[in-house]
Amino acid sequence: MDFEEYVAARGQALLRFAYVLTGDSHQAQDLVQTALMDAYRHWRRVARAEHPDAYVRRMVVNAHLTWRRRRSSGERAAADVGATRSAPDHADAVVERDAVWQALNRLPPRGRAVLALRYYADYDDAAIADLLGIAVGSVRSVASRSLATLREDINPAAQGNREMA
Amino acid sequence: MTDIEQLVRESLTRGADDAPHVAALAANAKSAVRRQRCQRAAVLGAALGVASLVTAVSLTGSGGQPAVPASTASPAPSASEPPGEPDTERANALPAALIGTWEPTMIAGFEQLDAARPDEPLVTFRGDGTWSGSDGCNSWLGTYALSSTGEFSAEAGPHGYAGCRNVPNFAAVGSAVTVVVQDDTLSFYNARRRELGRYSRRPDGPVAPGWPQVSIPDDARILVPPTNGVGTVRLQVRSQPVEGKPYRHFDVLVKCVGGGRYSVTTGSDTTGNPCDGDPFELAVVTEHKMHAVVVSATKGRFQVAVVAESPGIVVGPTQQRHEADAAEPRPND
Repeated sequence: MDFEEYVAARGQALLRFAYVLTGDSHQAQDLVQTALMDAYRHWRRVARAEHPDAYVRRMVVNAHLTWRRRRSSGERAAADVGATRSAPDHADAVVERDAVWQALNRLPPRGRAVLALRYYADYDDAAIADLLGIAVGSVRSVASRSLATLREDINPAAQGNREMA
Repeated sequence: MTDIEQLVRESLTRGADDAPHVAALAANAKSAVRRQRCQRAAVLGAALGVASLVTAVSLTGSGGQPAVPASTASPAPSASEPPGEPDTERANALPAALIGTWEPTMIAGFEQLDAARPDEPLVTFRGDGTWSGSDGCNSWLGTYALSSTGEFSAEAGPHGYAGCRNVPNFAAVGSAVTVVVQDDTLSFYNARRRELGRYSRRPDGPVAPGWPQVSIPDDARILVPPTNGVGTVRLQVRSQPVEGKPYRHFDVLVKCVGGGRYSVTTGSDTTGNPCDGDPFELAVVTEHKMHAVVVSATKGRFQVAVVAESPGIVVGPTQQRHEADAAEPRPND
C-alpha cells in the first residue's frame, strides 16, 4: 500500500478520530495534516509496521498531547458543534449527548485521549498504555478519574433528562 | 458498561459524525512536506553563507586580535580558503560531519541518561550510509540518509526489547527529519523544529571516508596553570595532509576542560598554511581560570600535534610536570 492509497482508505477515519480526540474541527485537521506529513516522510517505516493505521493514530495522539502541553495559555477548545452537526433524532438524547460532549471538552487532554481511545477506538487498556507510553494502571486511574469528573460535570443535565424520561 | 461509559461511547461516536471532510488529504500533506524542505534548504543555505563569511573574516582580518568575541560560549570552527573560490568542501561538510560515534547528552522527555546499563547507549553513523546504536541493552543496525541541506531519515533493523532504563536513542534518531552538527554537538529535530536529542561526539568513532583517521597522542594536552587573570596560550599545530586530498578548511577544536571563557584566533605571526602541512600558530586567550586546554582535530581532517608552547604553559599528560614547572614565572605574573 502506498501513501496515497492509505490516505484514500483511512484519511477520513483519521479525521474522525482526531475530531473525537480534540473536539475541534480545525485542530483535528491540523493534527491529521501533521501526522500525515510525518507519515509521508517516513512512509517506508510506516508501511512496514504491523498496523500502519495504529502507527499513524499514535502520531495523531502524540502530536495532540505535545501541542496541548506546549500551550501556555491553557487554551481549551470550545465545543465545535453546530455548524455541521447532523439533525437530532431525539431532542432529549441530543441535549444529553451535547452535555457529555461539552464535558469531554473540559477534560484534560490526556483524560480525553484515554476515553477516546477506549470508547471510540476500542483500544484495550494495554494498547492505550503502549500508545501513550504510560503504565496500564495509569490508564485505568486516568479513565476512572475522567469518568468521575464527567459524571459530576454532567450530572445536573443528565440526571434532569433521565428523570424526565 | 456503566451508564456514564455508555454515554461517553455514544457521545464520541455521534460526535465523530461532525468531523470535517477534507479533500486531497494526501496531496496537502505531500505539498506541505515539499514546502518545508524548500524552506529548510533556503534557511540552511543562508546560514552556511553567513557562517562562511564570519569564519573567513575571523581568519583574514584578525591581525593577532581575538576574532571571536570573548563572550562566545563555544569554539567557532575556522576556515581558511582563497577568497572567491567555490566552497565545495563546505557544501559537503554536513554528511561528513555526522560520521562518528555519538553519546546522548539530552533526549527530550527522558531523564535517566546517567543510569547504569549493560552497554553504553551510543549511536554510530558510518560513511557507507549505515548506522548502529544501542539503548543500553539492545542494539540495532540500520541505514540513514542525510542531504547536504540537513534533511535526514533513519531506519533500523530488528532489535531486542530487554529492559534496562532503555535510552530512547532510536526514537530520537528515527523521528528526526533534520540534523544539525555544530562542532562536536549533534542535534536531531522533528518537523516542527523541536529538538529531539542532543549528542556529543566520542573521540573514538569512525571518520568520514577519504579523511585520515586522526589519533591524538596523550601528550597533546596543554595544562594551563590555574590563573585568575588573563593568560595566553600559544602553541603550534601542524597538520598532515593526505596525498591527493585538497583540504581547504582548517578546523581546530579547542576544548577548555574545567570551564572558563576563551577565544580562539590565529597567531599574529602565522606564516604557514596548515593545509600544506606547515606549522600554524594558534593563540588561545583565556579570561578566566582555566585548568587545561586540549587541542585536537575535528572531522579527521588534520593530524594535529602540539609542537611548541609559550613560557609558563606546560605541555604534558600529567599534573606533576605542571607542578614541577610552577615555580617558573608566567607571562601574566
